[in-house]
Amino acid sequence: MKSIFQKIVNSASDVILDKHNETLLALTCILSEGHLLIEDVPGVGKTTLVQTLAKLLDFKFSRIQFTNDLLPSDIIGNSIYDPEKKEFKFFEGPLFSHLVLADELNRANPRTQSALLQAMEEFEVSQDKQTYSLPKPFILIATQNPKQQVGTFSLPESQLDRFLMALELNYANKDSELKIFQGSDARMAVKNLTTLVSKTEIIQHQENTRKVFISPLIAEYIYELLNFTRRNQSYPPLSTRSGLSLSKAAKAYAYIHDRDHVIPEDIQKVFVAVMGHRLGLSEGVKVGKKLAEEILQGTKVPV
Amino acid sequence: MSRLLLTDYKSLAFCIFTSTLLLFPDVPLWCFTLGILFWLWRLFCHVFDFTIPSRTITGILSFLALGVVLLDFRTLMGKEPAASFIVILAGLKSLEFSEESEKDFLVLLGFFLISSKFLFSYDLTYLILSIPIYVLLTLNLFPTAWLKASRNRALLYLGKVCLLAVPMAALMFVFFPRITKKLMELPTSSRYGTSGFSESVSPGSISRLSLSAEIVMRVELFNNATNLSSLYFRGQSLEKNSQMTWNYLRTNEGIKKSLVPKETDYKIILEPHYRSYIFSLRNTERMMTETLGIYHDLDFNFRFDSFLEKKAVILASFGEARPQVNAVTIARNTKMPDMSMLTAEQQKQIQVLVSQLKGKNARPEQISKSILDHFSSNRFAYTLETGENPSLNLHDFLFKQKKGYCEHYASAMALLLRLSGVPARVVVGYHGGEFNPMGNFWTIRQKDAHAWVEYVNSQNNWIYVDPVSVVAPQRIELGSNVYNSIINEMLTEDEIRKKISSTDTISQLSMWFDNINYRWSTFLLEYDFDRQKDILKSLNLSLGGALVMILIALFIISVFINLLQKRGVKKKFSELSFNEINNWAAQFDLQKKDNEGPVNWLHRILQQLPEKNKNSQPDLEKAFSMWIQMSYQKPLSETENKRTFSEIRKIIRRA
Repeated sequence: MKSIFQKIVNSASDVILDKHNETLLALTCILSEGHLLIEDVPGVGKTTLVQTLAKLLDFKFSRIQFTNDLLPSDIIGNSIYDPEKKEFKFFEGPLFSHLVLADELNRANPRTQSALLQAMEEFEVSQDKQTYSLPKPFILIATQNPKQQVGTFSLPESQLDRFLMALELNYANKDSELKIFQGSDARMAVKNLTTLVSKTEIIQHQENTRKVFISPLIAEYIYELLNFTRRNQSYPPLSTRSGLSLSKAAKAYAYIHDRDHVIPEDIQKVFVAVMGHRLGLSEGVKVGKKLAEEILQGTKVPV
Repeated sequence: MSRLLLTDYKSLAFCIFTSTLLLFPDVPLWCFTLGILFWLWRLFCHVFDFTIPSRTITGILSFLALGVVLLDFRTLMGKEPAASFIVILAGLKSLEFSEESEKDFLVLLGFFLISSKFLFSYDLTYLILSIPIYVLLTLNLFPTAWLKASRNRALLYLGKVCLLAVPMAALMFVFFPRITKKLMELPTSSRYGTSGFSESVSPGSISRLSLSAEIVMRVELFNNATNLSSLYFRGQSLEKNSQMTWNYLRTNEGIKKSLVPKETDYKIILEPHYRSYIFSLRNTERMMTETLGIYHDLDFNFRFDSFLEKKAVILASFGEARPQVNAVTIARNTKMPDMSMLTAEQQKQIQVLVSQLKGKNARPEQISKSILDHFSSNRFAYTLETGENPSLNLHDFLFKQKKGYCEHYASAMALLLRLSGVPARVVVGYHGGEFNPMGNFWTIRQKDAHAWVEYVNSQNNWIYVDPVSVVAPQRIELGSNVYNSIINEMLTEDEIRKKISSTDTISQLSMWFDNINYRWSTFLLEYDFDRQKDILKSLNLSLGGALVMILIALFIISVFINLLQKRGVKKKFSELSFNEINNWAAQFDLQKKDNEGPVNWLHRILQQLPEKNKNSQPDLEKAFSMWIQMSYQKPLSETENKRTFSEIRKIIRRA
């Protein structure tokens, strides 16, 4: 693993215990300029994870708590008339940050949810015929409650597809939980963290990630994985965009591990995270992950 | 180590052993025994896990064997000496076989063994027997682990090789210049003659052959369909006699080169008998064959100008003109038999019989008839049961034994004729045979061997007479095949007819196969130099042109193969490396799972590797990282990949 990423993961795990793998995947997601969906019950450390990453990476962080009465302008911002200059002035909303935590996204009504769409896809927002670019890098980390929680609007398929990865955080293991109960406030620990890498460096890493090589064999492997769901009636067919996401994520994973080419293991490591929410759809990430495991098991690695 | 050959290379061992067995009739007994002894030794080492003899021992043994073969044959050229040496060499090589790298040499020896059997016989039977051995041998050329992993692929590959090889072989057959006669004259020892036929006949010598089903020749008759009773294939006339034994008397009188037949009346495909005789029908005048010269004497006894060492196709035509028998021949054949061995009383008894047979009328025809009458009216029996008894004398046969096989009757009759003053001699050859209706040819076997009598009639011409025709007319009517099966059974006429007409499936099948085999060997044998020239002529090509064409074809094929391989290899260097690694892992029963990535697989191998192989870990890791880089990194040049591949192979071989 590249030493800088090793450091980041180590520092993060000091604050948020027993989430090594999730941190790594979140980092992968950031490097491949993708957005992250975290699905889990409240109170397992979703917010802490995001805050930790923001602090370590020197990202401007904002948090939007979604409720069913939240309006699009509440997150994008408002144009307000400036009587002195006799023009409308745009006041940026919380979306104009590097790392946006959209907490409990599925509590918002669909209209507000879809307002995020443009931001996620094009890294810009439109207000009153004006288009405003979001800061670079821009990463949206949304959390959602599992389906069975009351008062939720499930995310539509098109929106789910825009998240590069979906993670579950799960409860920490016993040792870690005991430590949590004994330890000091996590929020305080986050504040004490030192920034390890600058924004420009992250942008550089993102650019390098794009240059990681995907060999024909790997492309074939990705195709075989997608094709498995298309041939098989019992799986929701995976889109071409999902395949592209998979290759992006694998590139980042390979980059983190200091390689300039993707190997089948990279694909395997990120596959479940990338495909879980795409396969689970309205059933939830948990179901999707199980399906993703099955697909991995059933697909031959080309040599 | 001593278990390698018989456990891991069972099929190879099987091939070598079977081909050795197949060569049994062609090599001297001491050679064959030695070959088998080496195998027994090998088996002994295998069962008790003894160390196999060192290279020095086998080396010395092979030099000794070479010496003995040279002493025995005085040459290494030719079929028998070469086959003998290869048999011993294969035995020794199998004995010292201890590592995989020696496999290729053993496979090569196997090819020699099995080819020497088939190529010298032209026999379809051997080809069919050889095919599985060829397949197994070729399969053994593949790496063992590779074979273990994907036998089907190996077979597929073999199929592809055959697909290229068969048209190539056909092309070579048609266009490759025939080797001329001179080159083919390799020294061969004459002691392995397969024909039981010889230049002398004594009581029992022909009945001895009556159980041998070995094929002597096949004959195709073209113009006039002949029935069994006139199918006398004359081999040799025997003029010199002592007691009941008759011998060939060599005379150089009137020997001439046979003229080329104008039209073919019949065709003989003669199996090699390592002698020079040719069996001809009555009144044959001209004969020819491709490879050898044919001569005949005044009596139209045909002979090759050298020994027959491989199958020959002989074309023959009949002629009418027979010269009168000259005085010298008559004098030679009227020579009174020596009766001094008999007692005076026995001689007298014979004298009485002779004068009785002669009667007042001294015409040869009459005497011949009265001798036949004597045989038929005095209950002479035709039987195989007399056994071999060269010392049987005329008196005992005529007055005591009164039974015998054809040679007894022919001999006795010729003696009686001479005692009556008629020039007479014994003729040996074959009579009858089995007709194959599918191929329209006759198959003549050793058991059809026969002897009969010729005497000079009052017009001074040689006349055939067969005493068996009166003693056992059915032998002549039905042929030896049927007759020998009924000879000891008391059957009525109807039962016999039934027996003849019933042909079972097996004999049908064997006839069908024999027909194919016959066509195959005639096809191979008749495609000679002249035929080749005809084809070339019809294609407007000279021999040189044909050679050039072969070369061009070879070039095109090699380019084609090369292209095919290049294309295959281009995307596959990584796959070849994978195969190397896979083969290596296969020896520990480790297989890459389909859904397993390379790194995970490496970890699994390292985990499950037996303790004693742990030291190959660094090599393995290196090979893996090279393979992974080659597969998944930005592609390098072909040469680069090739180098990496050979590097991986080296590392893996070392591990």
